[in-house]
Amino acid sequence: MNKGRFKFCLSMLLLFCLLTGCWDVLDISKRAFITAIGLDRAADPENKYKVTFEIVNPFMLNDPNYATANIVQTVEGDSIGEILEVLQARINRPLSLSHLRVLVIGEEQARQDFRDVWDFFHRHRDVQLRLRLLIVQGEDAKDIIETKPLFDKYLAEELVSLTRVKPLLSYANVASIHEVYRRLAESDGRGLVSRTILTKDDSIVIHHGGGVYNNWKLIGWLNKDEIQEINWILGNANATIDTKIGEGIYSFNVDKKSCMIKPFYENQQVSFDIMIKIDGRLLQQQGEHMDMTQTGNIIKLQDAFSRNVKSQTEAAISEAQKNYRVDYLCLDSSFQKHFPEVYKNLDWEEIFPNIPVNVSVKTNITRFGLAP
Amino acid sequence: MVKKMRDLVKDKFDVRVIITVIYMTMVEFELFNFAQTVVNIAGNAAWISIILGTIFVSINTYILSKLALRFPDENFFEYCQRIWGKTLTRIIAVGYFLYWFSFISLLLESFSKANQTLFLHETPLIVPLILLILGAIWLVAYGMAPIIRFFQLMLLFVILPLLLLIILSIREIRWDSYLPILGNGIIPILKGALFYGGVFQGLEIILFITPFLNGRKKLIKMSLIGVNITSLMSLILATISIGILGVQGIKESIWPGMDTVGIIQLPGFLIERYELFLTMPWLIGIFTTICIFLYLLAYGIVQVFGCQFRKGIIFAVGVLAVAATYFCPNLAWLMKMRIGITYVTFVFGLFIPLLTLLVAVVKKQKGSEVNE
Repeated sequence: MNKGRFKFCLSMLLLFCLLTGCWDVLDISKRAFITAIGLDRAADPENKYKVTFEIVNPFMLNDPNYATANIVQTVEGDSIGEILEVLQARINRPLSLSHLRVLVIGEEQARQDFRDVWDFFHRHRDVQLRLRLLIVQGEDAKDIIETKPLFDKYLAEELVSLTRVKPLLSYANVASIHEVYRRLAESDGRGLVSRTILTKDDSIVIHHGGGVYNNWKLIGWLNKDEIQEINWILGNANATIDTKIGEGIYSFNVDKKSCMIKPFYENQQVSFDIMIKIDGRLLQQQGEHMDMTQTGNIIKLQDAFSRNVKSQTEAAISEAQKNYRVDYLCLDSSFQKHFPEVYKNLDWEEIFPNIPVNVSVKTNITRFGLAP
Repeated sequence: MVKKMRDLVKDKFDVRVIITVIYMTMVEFELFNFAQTVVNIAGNAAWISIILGTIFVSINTYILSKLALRFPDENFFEYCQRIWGKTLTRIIAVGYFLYWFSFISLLLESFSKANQTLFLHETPLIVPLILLILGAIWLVAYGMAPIIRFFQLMLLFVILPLLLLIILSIREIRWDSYLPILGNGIIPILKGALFYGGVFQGLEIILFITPFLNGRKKLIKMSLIGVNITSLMSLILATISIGILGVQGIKESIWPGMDTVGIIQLPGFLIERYELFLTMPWLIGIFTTICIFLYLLAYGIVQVFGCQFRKGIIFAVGVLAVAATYFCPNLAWLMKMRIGITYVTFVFGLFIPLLTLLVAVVKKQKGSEVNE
C-alpha cells in the first residue's frame, strides 16, 4: 500500500469516529416538548409560582384513538427554573422548550412585575421570542391550560391558531412576548396585553379584550368593544362596524386601515392629531335601503362611517385619559420620537389625562358587494 | 532567510476574487451581533454610523490597495524589510502575529461559547473546537489557492441564507424604530462610525493576497466593491435588527442576531425555526475567517523567521490558539476583549500600512510595475 493510499484510509477511519454523533444527540421521539406554559401565583405561601405545563405526546398525535395528545402537569416553586427541574423528575424524557408557543399568565401573577417573567424567557436558550402571550381574566392560567381543545390535539396549537385567525379579529390585540415587552419598555411599563377568558362552564377559551399595564403590572381590563375601539389606533385588524342612518342600519367591513399619529408641542402644550384612513366594503343594509350605484349615497355612508369610527376612537382615548389615566395607547412613544428633548423633561403620567387629541377619519367604500 | 513570495505563487486568480476573499474574511461572529456595539454607541442612528463608517473603511481599503500595488509581486513582510529594515520588520511582524493570534483565539472562544449556549449543551467545548481547527489546519496547509477556491465554493451558502433571512424579516420591522433621526446628536454617530471602521478585521489580507492575483490594475476597484458589499450586508442586518428589536432590545441582548431570527414568524412556511439561515452562514463565516488568519499567521512566521517546518508551524499555531481560549474566563470578558481588539485593528489595519506607504513614497521605493 503506497503512502498516499495509507493516509487516505487512515483519514477515512478517523472520520468514521465522528459519525457516531455527539454528546447531545437525542432522537426527537425521546424528548418531551413543552408547548404551553400557564403561570400563576402559588397557593402555598412558601412558593412563588404555580406553573402548569402542556407537554405533547408525539405518539398520540397521529393516533385517531386519542382525542387529545397532551399531558398537563402543575408544579409549584420559587423560580421557573427550579419548577422545571421538579417537573423533570416526573417526566422520563428530557424537557425541551424549543417548541414552546404560548405563555398564559393568570390574573394574580399578571399583577406582579412583568420583567421577572420576561427575564426567564428571554434568557432561556430554547425559547423563541415569537412566543404568544395571553393574560387570563378572573381565572388561573392553569384553568386555560387544562381546557380541552376543540379542533386540535393540544391546546397550544389551538391558542396559536386562535391568535392567527384570518381576517384578524378586531376584538383582540394580539402580540408576542417580545412585542409586549418592547411596548412596555418604550412606555415605562405602560401598554396593552391580549386577554383570554373561559366560558361559564369552563369548556371553551375565548380570546378577546385586553389587559392594561402600568408600571409593568396589570392594573385593569378592557372588554372586546373597548379593544375594537383602541384597534383603530393600535391594531391592524379588519373590523366590522354597524352604523345607523335614519331608519337603516349599515354594516361596513374594513379592508385596509392606516393610522397616523402626529404630535405637536406649541406654547409648552402637548397635543396630538390622529388621522385614520380606512378602505372597506359594505356588507349589509337593514331597514331603509340606499341605492349604492348613486355616488351621493356612497358619500353619505362614508361620512356616517367616518363619524362612527371617530366617536369610537375618541371613546378609546377618553377611556385611557379619564378612566385609567394611563397612556396604554403609546402616544408617549410617538411624542418621544418627535420631541426627544422635550419628552425628557415631561411628567407624562401627570400630563397625559389632559392632552388634547384631535381625531379625523376618512372612509372610502371601495366595494358594495353583488347587490346595488 | 526570507522566501520570495513570487516563487511560492503557482496558481494565480483573477483580481475579482478579492471581492469573495474580503467578504468571506469579514463575515464571522459579527453575524450574531448585527453591529450591536455600534447600536450601543449611536442608538437608532447606527445605520448612519455604518454608512459613514463605510466611507472610512473605503479610504482604509484604498490605502491598503495603493500600498499593495506599489509592490505587486511581494507581500507586506517582504517589502517591509526594504522600507523599515530587518529588525524593525521583525518587531512589526511580531505585532501582527500577536494580533492575528489573539483574533483567532477570540474567534474560537466566541464559536465555543455560542456553540455551548445554543447548540451542543452537553458536548465538551474542546470537541467542536478541535474539529474546527483541524479542518482549518488541513485547508491552510495547502496554501492560499485552495483557501480561495474554498471561499468561492462557500460564498453562495453564506449569501443566500442571509438574503432569505432579510426577506423574511422585512414584515416584522416597525418602521418608527428609526425615529428620532439624530435624536442623540451627531457625536454618538461619529463615534459609532469610528468604531465601525475597526470592525473590519482582516482587511490587511489585501497586502498579502496581491501576488496571487492577475489583472491587478483593477485591485483598488475590486477591493472597494468587496468592502462595500460586505458593509451593505452589515448595514441591512443592523437596520433590520433595530427595526425588529428596537435599540433597547439590542442593548439588552447578548446576540441580537439570534433574537431577531427568533421573532420572525411566517405561518405555513416549511420550517418554524429560522435560526438555520443565520447559523449556517455564521459557521461557514467563522471557519473561513479562521482559515485566512491562520494562513497569515503561520505563513508569516515561516516567511519572517525562515522556518522550514511549514505544516508543523500551522499545526502548532492552531493548537496554541485553541489552548489560548482557556484563558478567557467568561462571556463578559470575551465581549470586552472583542471590543478591545476592534480598537487594536486601527493600528494593524490602518496605521502601520499607512506609515509604510508614506515612507515608501518619501523614499521613492517601489516594486515591479503592474503590467497585467
